[in-house]
Amino acid sequence: MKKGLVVFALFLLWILLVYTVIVLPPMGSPENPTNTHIIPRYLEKGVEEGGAHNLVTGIILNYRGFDTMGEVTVIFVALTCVLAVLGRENILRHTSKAEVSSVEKSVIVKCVVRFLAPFIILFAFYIILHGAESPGGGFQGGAILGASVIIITLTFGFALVAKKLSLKYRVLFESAGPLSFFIAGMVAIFCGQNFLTYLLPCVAHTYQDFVRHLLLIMVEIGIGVGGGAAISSIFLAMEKVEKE
Amino acid sequence: MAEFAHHCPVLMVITFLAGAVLTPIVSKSKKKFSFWWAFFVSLLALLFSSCAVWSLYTKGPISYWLGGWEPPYGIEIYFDYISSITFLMTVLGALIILYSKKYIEHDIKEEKLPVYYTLVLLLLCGMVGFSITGDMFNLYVFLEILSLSGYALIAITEEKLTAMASFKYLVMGAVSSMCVLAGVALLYNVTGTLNMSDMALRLQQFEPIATSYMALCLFVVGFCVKAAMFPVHVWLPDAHALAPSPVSALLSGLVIKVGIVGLLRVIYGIYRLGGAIDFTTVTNFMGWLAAITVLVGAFFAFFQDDIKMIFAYSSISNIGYIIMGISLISFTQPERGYLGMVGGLIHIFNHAIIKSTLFLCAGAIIYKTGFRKLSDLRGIGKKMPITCGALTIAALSIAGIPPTAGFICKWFIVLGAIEFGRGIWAAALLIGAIFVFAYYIKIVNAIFFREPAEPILEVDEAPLSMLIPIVILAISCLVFGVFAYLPLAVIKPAAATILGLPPTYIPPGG
Repeated sequence: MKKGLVVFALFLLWILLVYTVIVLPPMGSPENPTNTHIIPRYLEKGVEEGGAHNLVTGIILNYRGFDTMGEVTVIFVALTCVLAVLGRENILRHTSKAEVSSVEKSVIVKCVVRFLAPFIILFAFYIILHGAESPGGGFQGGAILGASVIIITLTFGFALVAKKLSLKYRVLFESAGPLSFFIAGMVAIFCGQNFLTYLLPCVAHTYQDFVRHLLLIMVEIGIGVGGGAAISSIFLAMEKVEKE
Repeated sequence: MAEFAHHCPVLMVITFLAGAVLTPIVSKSKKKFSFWWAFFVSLLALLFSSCAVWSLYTKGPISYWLGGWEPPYGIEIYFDYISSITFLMTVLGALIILYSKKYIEHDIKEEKLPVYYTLVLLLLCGMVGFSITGDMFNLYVFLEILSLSGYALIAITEEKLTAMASFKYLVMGAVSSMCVLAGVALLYNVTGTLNMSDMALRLQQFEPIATSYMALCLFVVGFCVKAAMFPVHVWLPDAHALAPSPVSALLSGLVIKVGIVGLLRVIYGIYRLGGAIDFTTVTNFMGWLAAITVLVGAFFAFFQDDIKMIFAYSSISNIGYIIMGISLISFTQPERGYLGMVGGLIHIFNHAIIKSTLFLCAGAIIYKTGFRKLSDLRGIGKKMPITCGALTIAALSIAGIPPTAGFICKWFIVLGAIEFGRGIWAAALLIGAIFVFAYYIKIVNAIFFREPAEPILEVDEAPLSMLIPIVILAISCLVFGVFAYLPLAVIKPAAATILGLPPTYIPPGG
């Protein structure tokens, strides 16, 4: 009875929401408010003003850079939440006794991963660095970077990765995303501009483009490394739960 | 100087952000250092927020274009009268961090101290960013930052019950965030912009009223869950009562107010300014629910024995007062809602101070005795006179006894409701106030006038780092009651501008 009522209420809500979507301006029509108000400026001047050949990168890092800073912080918050609930991985427990791996990985898996892992990491950095020119960017590259750490952990065991990717450096990498935005923003403030301005008038005119590019690349690397480190740290923290 | 004041709002946000991100790094080898770092960061942010508020009241609102892009194209920070709540956030944030020093070392493992301070700074960063932004999507981003860190802060003590409370909050909070996001998406589709003032202007030009109305409903639902209004208040009592006490003070004092700030931004910043949609049906509905909220919160608080549970239910009741105050609005005659708005806004301010005092006092008592039930705490007042004195002042304030801070807001809200022709709301408020009075009398009676039980006799006063915030807050409960014109001088122009009246508006008859 109670379940029936809930389903009925949700059904009514569903009808209401579907109706709202139906009366929205038609999708893809050039007369839509979304396509006539702000977007034309982005399309016409975005590449030149944004400083990136990839327009999407120009918008997320430049026009709406503050949002992206928030999103990067959300990733950092997610990591901190996991650490608050689960705690960091316990290296001591793992190195004191032999690795308790449930199944010994076959030699084929080990070989393939050993061969592929460097290329995956290389590809991740390619995606990160090429974000300004072609599809890609920090978030995507960071995910690939994190995935590479996960696949190595799954194959070669937890202790090795936790030791090689020691906490000493990982703590620095984790905060790279928000910190790179912070540095780029503060450079602009010290130059007398608003926070997160990349085109700095205090730099000699011929170098302005170069400095802007440099700042954008720095932010991309920060997002990528920070995202990758967050993914790996979350994964390593969960390892502990599984073993207990 | 003017140049510097212009940067202050954004500096406030990024001070918290960079401070939070750097906490694990600076306290890598010495975990206890994270407290000093967090305290330093919060003081720095307090400096920036005082500068921004000073500039607001001397030179008017600050509009800051991030990245130098003009508003509809880039993100705008708009530091207006609603944003002056950031001053309250930074002051309370600094005091609560100071209080946390002893309390948290006692409550959680040492290796988790940096995580705790990181989350507190992130929570403050989210709240401050939420209150100053002038962009709808940016609002959502900061809402996510503050909600996520709130969920984790409740669960940080690793007890089974807190995990459950946090999970309940997480589920309801996630749904409410989705509502807000859906609202943003709908409004973006209708207006083609994300900037709030631009959205308000463009909302009148476009036909699909149904979509805008639905978006308004989604926003109201989303923010009311965050503010814990009846019937979506169910997450609050457990979450606020079971969290570590400084976290309870932050959540009850500030985080639920973020929902109110969101409501003010959306209803008054977008829909009233747009003027195309009559939103009074929605605000009326909110007002009726608020009246029920007042009664429900007060009623349940009366039957609790756990002191933090009492305070948590009382927060629900007080959120009812605030929402009742801000929903007394007439679409055609904005000046009719003036008194209610002043009452609602001043109660945001006063309740934040009072409820933080209550939770911090409760925390100090729990820290010293380990008990949280009123029946175990009989006679504690003789052993911890300063803490219990502060608790009494705060309890009297929240009950609305005249010389304290709580009186003035209820007075304004009742006047506003009667003048608006909503006698029933005023009646609900007064009945609620009687309940509140009864249960705070119960607390004061138990802690001062009952014979202490055996374990209480061993207890002495709380440490200095806890007493300083408690005493400062308790004194401000008194000061803002006796000198009520101080907060009123700040809040009257805020209320007038929210309603679209000139900042110097004086209601007829004074």
